[in-house]
Amino acid sequence: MAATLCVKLLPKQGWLPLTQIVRHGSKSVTRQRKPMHFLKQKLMAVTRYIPLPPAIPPGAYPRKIGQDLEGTPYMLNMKRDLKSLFQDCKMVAVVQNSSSTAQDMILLKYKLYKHGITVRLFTNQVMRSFLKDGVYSNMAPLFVGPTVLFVSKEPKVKEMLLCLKSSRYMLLLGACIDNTLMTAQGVVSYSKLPSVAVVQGELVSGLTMMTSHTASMLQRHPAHLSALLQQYVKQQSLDNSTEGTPNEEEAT
Amino acid sequence: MLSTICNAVKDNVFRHVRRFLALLSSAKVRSSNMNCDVVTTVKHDMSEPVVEITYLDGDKLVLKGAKLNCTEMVDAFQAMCTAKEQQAKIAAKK
Repeated sequence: MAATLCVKLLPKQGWLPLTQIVRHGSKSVTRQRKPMHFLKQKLMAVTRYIPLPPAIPPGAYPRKIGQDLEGTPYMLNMKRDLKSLFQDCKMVAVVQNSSSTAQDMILLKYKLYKHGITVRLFTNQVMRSFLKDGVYSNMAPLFVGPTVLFVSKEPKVKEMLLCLKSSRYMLLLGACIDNTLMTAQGVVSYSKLPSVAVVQGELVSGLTMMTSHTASMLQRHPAHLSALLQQYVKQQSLDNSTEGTPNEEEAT
Repeated sequence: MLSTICNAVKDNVFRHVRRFLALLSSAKVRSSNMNCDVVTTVKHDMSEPVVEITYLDGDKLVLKGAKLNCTEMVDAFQAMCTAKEQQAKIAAKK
């Protein structure tokens, strides 16, 4: 490149060149490998690593497919992890990610993390062996195929459903919220429930409505009350008589 | 238009359908036909998992996940698609 820059057309006679080359004659990469001393070369050749021949020839035995991981430290670690996860997190949702790209996963994880939901990945083997011993054994059929766990300390179901709606290929299979196993539809209906405060308010208002009715009635004129009671007695007697006559008819 | 009914609870009958779904939702497969919608419904009512494929000319291919393997499903789907393509080519030539 330096050589080509040297031979540039000067605009006019007597003008300074457009480019001025500062580096001449030296290479840019100055760290080359030092040639090894001959004695060192001999030493390296003599002390070269020669691996031991394999005791069993490579094609002799079939490979161990589906190794039993039960007692291994890996499995124990994972199980401990899972146990603490299930204890800490109120919401554990199982989602099938058929195939999100890494980009989609990053975006999804970011969106969920803003609401405090973390995305955890455990192999199905580990999950199944953990679940079969414990209380959550009915969750085991959910863990087939490429699954991922969405866990969070607080059950933020609405936000999770919103995020899942935006990503096309994540499928909610089921969830365990507050120690109750739920189906996908169950999760949706759970998200539509009003908050505890609202429900309590509704209940209290319903109960107080009855008592307020009676209170308002008692406050009115006693003649009104007595008229109402007489009417009520009449209606009761009417009902009794109507019940009595059909019974007699049936008897006869 | 592809609709899958995926059953989450029944004796491992659903695993082939799920694998089929996972295969078909990969990025390569998706990019091969952007017009194809994959609609999945997760049901928990012990019903058989079913894959229904509706083609543009109204034909339907129903793959019953209870009786079929994942590879068998893929083979059947591909066979149908190639047959349709050939028909379309012949029709286009005419």
